[in-house]
Amino acid sequence: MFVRLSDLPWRRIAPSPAELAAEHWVGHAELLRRSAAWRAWLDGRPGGRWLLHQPDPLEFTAALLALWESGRIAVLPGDSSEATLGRLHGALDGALPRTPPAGVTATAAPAMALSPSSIAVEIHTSGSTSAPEWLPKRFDQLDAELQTLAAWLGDQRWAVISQVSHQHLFGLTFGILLPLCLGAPFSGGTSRYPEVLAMRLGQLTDTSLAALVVSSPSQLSRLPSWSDWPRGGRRRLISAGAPLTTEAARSAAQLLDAEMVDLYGSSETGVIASRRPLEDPIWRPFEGVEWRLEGAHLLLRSPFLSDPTGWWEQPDEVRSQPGGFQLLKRRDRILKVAGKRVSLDALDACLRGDQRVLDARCVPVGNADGRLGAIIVLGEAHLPHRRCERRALISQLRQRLLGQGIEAVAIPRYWRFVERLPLNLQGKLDQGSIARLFADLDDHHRPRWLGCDAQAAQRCTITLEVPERLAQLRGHFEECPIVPGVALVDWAASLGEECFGPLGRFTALEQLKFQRPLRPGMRFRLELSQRADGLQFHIDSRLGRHCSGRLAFTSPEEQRNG
Amino acid sequence: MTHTPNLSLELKRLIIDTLELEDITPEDIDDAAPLFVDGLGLDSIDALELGLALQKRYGIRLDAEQDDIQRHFASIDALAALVSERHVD
Repeated sequence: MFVRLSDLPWRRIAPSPAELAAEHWVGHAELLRRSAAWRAWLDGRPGGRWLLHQPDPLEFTAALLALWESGRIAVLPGDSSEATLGRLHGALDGALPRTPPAGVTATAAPAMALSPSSIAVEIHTSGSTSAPEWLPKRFDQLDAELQTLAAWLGDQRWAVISQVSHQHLFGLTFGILLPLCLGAPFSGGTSRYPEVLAMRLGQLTDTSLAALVVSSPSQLSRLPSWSDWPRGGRRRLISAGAPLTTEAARSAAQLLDAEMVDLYGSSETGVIASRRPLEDPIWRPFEGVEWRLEGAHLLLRSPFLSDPTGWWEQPDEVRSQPGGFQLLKRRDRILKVAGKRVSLDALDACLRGDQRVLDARCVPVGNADGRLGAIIVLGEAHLPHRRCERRALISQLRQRLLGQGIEAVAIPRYWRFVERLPLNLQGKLDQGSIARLFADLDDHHRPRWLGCDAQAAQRCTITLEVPERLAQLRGHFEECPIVPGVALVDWAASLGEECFGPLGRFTALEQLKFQRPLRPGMRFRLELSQRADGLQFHIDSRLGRHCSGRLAFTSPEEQRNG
Repeated sequence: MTHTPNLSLELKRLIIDTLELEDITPEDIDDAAPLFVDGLGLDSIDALELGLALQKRYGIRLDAEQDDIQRHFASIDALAALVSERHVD
């Protein structure tokens, strides 16, 4: 049974089955009661656009219905940071309080008729340019999509467990609106922890309801491998927001005993296509979604779009396949971190707004969770030389990003402060340079590499930093860690080989002097010169000389001859 | 608090290593300070990672019906209390 949003399904469909506990599942009776309380609170306040940020699914939905039934528009920010709220202040007619109105015994006021062509919600999205955008969605757009999804789900009676935020379109559509239109119970309270997901699945095992689990790659790739996940009953697991690895799809499907479906869509387009990642890698468009290619660019025409008649250019490149397409890559500097759309240009621009920052490039560093690294170019006067300076600088830059409303997961986790960007011969920041800047993340024996000056064929100065988690620091004085001398000699030898090629077999260490300890977080220079009698090295920081010496080698030729 | 300073240090190292907090050392983390949002600035993905790490290291599994998961993750003190109470060897 499907009822369109504009036909007020929450007033027409029977309440949820008695077998589900009301405190864990949102049923229609409770929803109407809470919605009446929000209506009473709104009574006498201005109409228009209202900010709604409410983590609790029951209260969120109740407030949303109260706004709609009183002819208002819900504006949904992705977060409730002061920066976001501050930016919105004045542009809206009001903000609903975080704490729900209590103790109001209101009877439901009659609902205003909802016009399909009026705006239901405005959703915050990280725009393709640097500025965040507000995306309006009309009831008819949402209803077209919901109707397609209802048909796609089939006749089964569902209960919906959502692990993703309803402040974004995917969570709103699948976690809240779809159950409303189907008269399906949905989980009350947050379900983002695996413990809660397991409990809710357990509550459905002995009912006639199939479970629809709305999740994301971030969650599914971190499911604990418990042997006692509740089993039984039909389950469909849907993931969206970012690419889901086959491995994560397989293990999630197995653990939860569910059919796994991956969805492709965006805030602007709604759902576009789906696939069963374990059976078929091809994206198959939803009923009603037309598509064509211009070169590799994907163009869409769909009733879920704001303009259902025009062709919409999706910023992804795809390859046509029988029955659908294969996704290749995005065409702009937007990527997904933990399922949140992040504009790298916006991050860079925000960081460049700090007057000390000459240039900034935020980049994915290739780790599994998609956390970003930031490469920050600073003038000499502002480069951090000690741990405390580095930390203070990072903290200020983080605050700056948060202050501009950047979501926490999008804030770079790894920071590299350089004198200039390590560009390749084509003037590009290539993958090789990026990998070198962040190589210490995977190899805890390496110093942090921050740049290299090759003054001559046989001379080279490398700027480095001592990582706090350097493996060689372990046990080298708990109270006051210093880099052991042997690590410094190792670095000289290994970086010497990177600069000059194979040095031959090590034979002797000469004129070794340790003058000053090197501590975690310190920035230093390693100067290397290749000479006939070996590799001369000096290690200096702003404090002065730390270490020097010479490594003697049998040259590769001698080695061969010998 | 009934937990030992060693446990609190161990948990700080677990957090730093699990979440790759490259600039933080155990001394930087206050036992009572919030780990999420304001304090260390950890986020929802970190919470999932941390849950997995606690399970691997200490065999701890939270009970959604009995436990307030967010409260257990509030600070090092709260985590240490949880671990000393439920630690499975």
